[in-house]
Amino acid sequence: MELLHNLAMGFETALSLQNLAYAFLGCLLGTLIGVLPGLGPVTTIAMLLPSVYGLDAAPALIMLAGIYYGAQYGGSTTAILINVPGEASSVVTALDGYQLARQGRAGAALAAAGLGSFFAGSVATLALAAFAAPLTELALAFGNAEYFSLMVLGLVGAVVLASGSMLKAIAMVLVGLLLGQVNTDVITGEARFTFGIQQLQDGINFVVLAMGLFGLGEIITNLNSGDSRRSLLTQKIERLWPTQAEFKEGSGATVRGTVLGSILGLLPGGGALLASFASYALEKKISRTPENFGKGAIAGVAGPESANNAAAQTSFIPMLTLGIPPNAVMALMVGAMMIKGIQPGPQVMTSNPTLFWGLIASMWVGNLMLIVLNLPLIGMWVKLLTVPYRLLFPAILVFCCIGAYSLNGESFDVYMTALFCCAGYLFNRLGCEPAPLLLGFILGPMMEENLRRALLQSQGDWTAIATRPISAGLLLLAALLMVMVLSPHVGRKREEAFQGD
Amino acid sequence: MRNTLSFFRQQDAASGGLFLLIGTAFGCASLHHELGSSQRPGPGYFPLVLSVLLLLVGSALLWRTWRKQTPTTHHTAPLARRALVAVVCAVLLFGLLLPRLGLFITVPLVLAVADMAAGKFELRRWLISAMVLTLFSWLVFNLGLSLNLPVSPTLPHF
Repeated sequence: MELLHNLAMGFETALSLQNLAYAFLGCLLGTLIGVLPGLGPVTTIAMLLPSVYGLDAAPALIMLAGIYYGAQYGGSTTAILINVPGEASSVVTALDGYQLARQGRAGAALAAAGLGSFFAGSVATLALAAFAAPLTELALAFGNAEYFSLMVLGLVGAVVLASGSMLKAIAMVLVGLLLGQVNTDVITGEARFTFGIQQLQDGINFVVLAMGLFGLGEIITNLNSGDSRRSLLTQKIERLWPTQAEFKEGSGATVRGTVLGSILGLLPGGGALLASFASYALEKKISRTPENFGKGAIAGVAGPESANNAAAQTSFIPMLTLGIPPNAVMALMVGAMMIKGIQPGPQVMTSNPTLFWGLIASMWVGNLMLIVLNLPLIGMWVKLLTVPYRLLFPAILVFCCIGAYSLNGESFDVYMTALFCCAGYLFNRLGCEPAPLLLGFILGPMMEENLRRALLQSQGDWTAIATRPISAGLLLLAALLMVMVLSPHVGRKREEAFQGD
Repeated sequence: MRNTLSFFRQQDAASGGLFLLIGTAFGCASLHHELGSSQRPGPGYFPLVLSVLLLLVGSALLWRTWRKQTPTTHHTAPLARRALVAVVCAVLLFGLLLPRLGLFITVPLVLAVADMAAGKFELRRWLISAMVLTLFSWLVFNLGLSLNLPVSPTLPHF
């Protein structure tokens, strides 16, 4: 079977010493930032992007991927132990996980989270391997109009599934698209919106944008909210393995969470956060003892943790096969691939098969590493939490600065980072989410190129985009999504789901 | 007649205003370029479309906020002037100093400025973090990743 052959090739790549080392580094870093609140995968990956220039494509992507799904593991540790979710997607885990810890069942909670995540990660990686080929074939039937509509769907999805005001999310996408227009026009060679600044002729470097908006902006917000002393559960964690009964309780939730997470990860704008919330809601709904939720239900930990890990893995699918990033982290991965000269899209599978399958195989290896890293090393991670933010943020700041400078050896990029830091803070105060902006920025140039080509091909006929079958289907889906969310009933549910944010 | 200032203190209203500004700016700028037609879109085509859309959304936001009888979310946290200024100055300083004074001088200086973002300045803490971070950065970025950041002051050339 071709799938087996590809997987074998993938494992050959993934198990090379260098790639193993980078996978381990990625998982370690990921767990670390997952454990530390105030530092997330977006910031970290943005900070590490300049280093991608010096690495080969496969180890770089393997490491970055490891950081992403590793963070999902790490975030649950702090959520359970000290009721401080290290990652946004661990917010739900804290609800029941912390209660379990207070009852002395921290080990069971941690194991439920860890094992559930591993199961979910493995299954999702298999799904990724299985669906990659058919999806890629589908994508080869895409023309310019189809790609344009697909990107519209992607952006609409990001808007719809973002928390907060939809109008503002739409506006942020538009701002991102506009910022992506600052460059040299592809077709005519004219420089646009550059104000005569030479460094802008290649466009705003998205690393600069990401670091300023997310990394530095986050620092300011965190500094402002103060460093509340958290109560640390220092009692020794006994009995790491769950009992027979706890196992049964959690396994059903794990499977359901995996399925739910795998699907939600595919959706644009979806991902780990949405998956964990949805899983918690589902488990609570179908549980025979819903009153246990919030007081220490294993299902309330196993389900969301499986879901967020599964979603983290499957969110690679649209990125790797179609070249469309479904969330901010994947947008950065697309950027990383472009840095290495790889154009993300359906041809990646055929032009860089070792990279493609190697990445997939290393995800499974990474999940294995993570379960090993997390369960025995819990004590160490907890110690790390005592590092005050006061010591942490200067390091982040310096790394961001160095990263920005190292892009082109130019101070200009550093100044731009400062500018976007201000912008990021402004957006934060105005309640505007930066993630849709990043997505719009990454997709902007591609969208424009596809749109212009499509219009050229159709002789200026806008309706051609809406009448070609695949394209029409995609646009219809986008419209449906918007209508669904605009309906008051769904709108209320959406607000409920994001209460915990 | 509602007070204009308090109207714009609301997040949604201020956002709407911001988007109108951005939309207008980009829109005007895109008019400088050839728009072309639907058949042959020029460089100004897509940006103009986007700017118009942004203007619409911005107006919608303002309209919606205006229509609501009860005020929507205001700015919650106090303005983090100190943190913002400190971080931004630190970053700008880094950009200014690194090519001129090199890593070993720039990092400690930048750290000093950044430190002021979070309260009182402590000499000991600054010294330790300056040493650790400078050394770490040098090891990881220059030696480990071969980034060739300037490390010592360069003589000014004219």
